[in-house]
Amino acid sequence: MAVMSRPVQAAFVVDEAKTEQFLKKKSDPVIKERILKNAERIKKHATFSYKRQG
Amino acid sequence: MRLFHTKDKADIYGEEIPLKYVSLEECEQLDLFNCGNETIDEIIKHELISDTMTKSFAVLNVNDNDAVAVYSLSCSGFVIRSYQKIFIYPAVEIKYFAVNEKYQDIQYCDDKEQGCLSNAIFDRIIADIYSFTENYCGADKIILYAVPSAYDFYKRIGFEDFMDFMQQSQDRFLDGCIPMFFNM
Repeated sequence: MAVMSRPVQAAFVVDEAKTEQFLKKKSDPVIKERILKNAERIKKHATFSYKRQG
Repeated sequence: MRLFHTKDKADIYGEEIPLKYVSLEECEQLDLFNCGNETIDEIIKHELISDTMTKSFAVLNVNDNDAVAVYSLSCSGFVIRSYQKIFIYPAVEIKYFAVNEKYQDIQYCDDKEQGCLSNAIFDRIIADIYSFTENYCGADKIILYAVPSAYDFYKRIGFEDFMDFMQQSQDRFLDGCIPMFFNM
């Protein structure tokens, strides 16, 4: 099966006791750099054409 | 079954497939999309285009207009309760990410470390979300509910388990999915 994610009827509610720990989590610049580099790579054989709704 | 004109699925790399990212309503062969889950296929084919709470896209194989993948994004958030107040922090939710069964497990290039075509497609989605949140509408987290078989896929990308931080009363609504988040 190739469904990777789907919605469920639940909100992302943070446990009050873990709020500070959760909010302290920040981005990893190494991960961001890797993703953006990979995204540039796909541009070599991909085009983008988005239509606005309405 | 031959997927392409001259090569089998095993003979082609993802980087050789010319792709086009389009709005879902521009996908002419949506009826042929098959991700392996009939319920999700039906939602993708008949409901997503008219769903105003999400914006949905298709990634097409330019050679034959096959829908390689479909994904759907929403403005969302996560809830924090503090001192009897409720705060909502913005996030982008990836409501759906589904890959056509024909295009699963296609290695992206001859370097196996680069992963599969699905990885490359998903990195592009994340890059678009970075661009949107940096230029149009702020948020610093991406959230999604992963199906269990995709958990490792998202972990390798950099997503983390939200279960470690989640209010436990919510877990009965997860319908077998795993809430995950990504810090942008």
